[in-house]
Amino acid sequence: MFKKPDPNIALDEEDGLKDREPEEGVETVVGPSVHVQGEFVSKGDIIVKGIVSGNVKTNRLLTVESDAQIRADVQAGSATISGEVDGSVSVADKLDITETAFIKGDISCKTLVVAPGAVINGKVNMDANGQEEMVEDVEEEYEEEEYYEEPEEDVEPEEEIEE
Amino acid sequence: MYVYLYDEFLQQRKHDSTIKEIETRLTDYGIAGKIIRLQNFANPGSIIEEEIRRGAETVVIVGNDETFGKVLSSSASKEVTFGFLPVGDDNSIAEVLGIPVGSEACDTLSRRRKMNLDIGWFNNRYFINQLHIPPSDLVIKYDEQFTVSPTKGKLEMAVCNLQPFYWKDKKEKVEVHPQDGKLEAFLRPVIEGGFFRGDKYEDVSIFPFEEMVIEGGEPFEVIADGKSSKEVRVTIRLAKNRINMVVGKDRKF
Repeated sequence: MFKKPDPNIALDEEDGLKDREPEEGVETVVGPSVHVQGEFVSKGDIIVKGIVSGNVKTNRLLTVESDAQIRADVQAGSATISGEVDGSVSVADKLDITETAFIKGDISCKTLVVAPGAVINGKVNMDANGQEEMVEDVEEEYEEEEYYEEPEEDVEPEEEIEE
Repeated sequence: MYVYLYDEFLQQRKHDSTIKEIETRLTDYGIAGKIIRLQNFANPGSIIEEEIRRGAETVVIVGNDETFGKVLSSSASKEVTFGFLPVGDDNSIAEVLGIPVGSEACDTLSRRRKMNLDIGWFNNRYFINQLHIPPSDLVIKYDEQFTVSPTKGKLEMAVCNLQPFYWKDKKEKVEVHPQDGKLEAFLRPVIEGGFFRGDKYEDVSIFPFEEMVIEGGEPFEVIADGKSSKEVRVTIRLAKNRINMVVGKDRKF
């Protein structure tokens, strides 16, 4: 009535069943009535609807919604700001500031879009080279984190080997 | 060698025909094995350890979501391949794993598509599916980098691994993949609405994480895979690729 399982089936499908690598684009959402404090670093998109104090870093999109408050220096790949930011804003690519935004701090970005009604109290710097360096800095930080997660085996220093 | 762990509820007469059908099909496929019926107070971990010592290579859980969580929470660290034959109601995990309910699950088992799955770990035990903390005074520290707290009131939390979590009132659904290398925590601050209006909830916050520590001002309830306990401090970690599992072609990840 039933066929016995073909031992080749499992072998044939082995290639398609490789364990997936961790996804890097997982979204983080800070909802309303939530307070985040500290080094807030993410590899994916960040949406802020609540309060964040400390530092905010992502190499992808940061969205600050109209009732959100950020009391921190911000680094992002690109950003849309509709809420309040008290701190410097460094964006590698495009920074979109909407009419409800209130920014108290220096801004640096490659492309800037400001809607009428937005309030900016600070210097604006649009040096494209500087932003590229900033992105490299963020990437280096991620590499360092990975290094510490998987320490290499103990190796004696080269100097001692020479002696 | 295959070992089959039957949940106690399968002794009910209504499951007799399904069990008979499953056993016939397993014999036809040549993968029938030893059957162990789990009693209420039996520890699946020590049973599996004993069977591994006797040469078991595949342990098949026969039952529903509760059986699945009960067996794997105490035996996820064992070096053995796990299979699952879902029988009866309450079988939503089987759908995520791509395993059909009833005797057709034997076909999936016989094909042996194996994958390593991520699972969660908290305070010395594993959870496979979900961990839920009802509204409590909580402060949460993520990956030793930042803390999350409600601006006022209490916080409800759910950590998902295998299945999306559904809040009772809103039926929110967020897809979470067991292999994405992270656990996802869903937080919901509670706004007290008074005696007649009942509590209201703010929008959900989502934080992917690998490790987090939850502390409460007073002992709070933790429900992991349906099993409840009271804790003051909880450390939750991701155990990457911890269980080797036979999955179906139609799995949701």
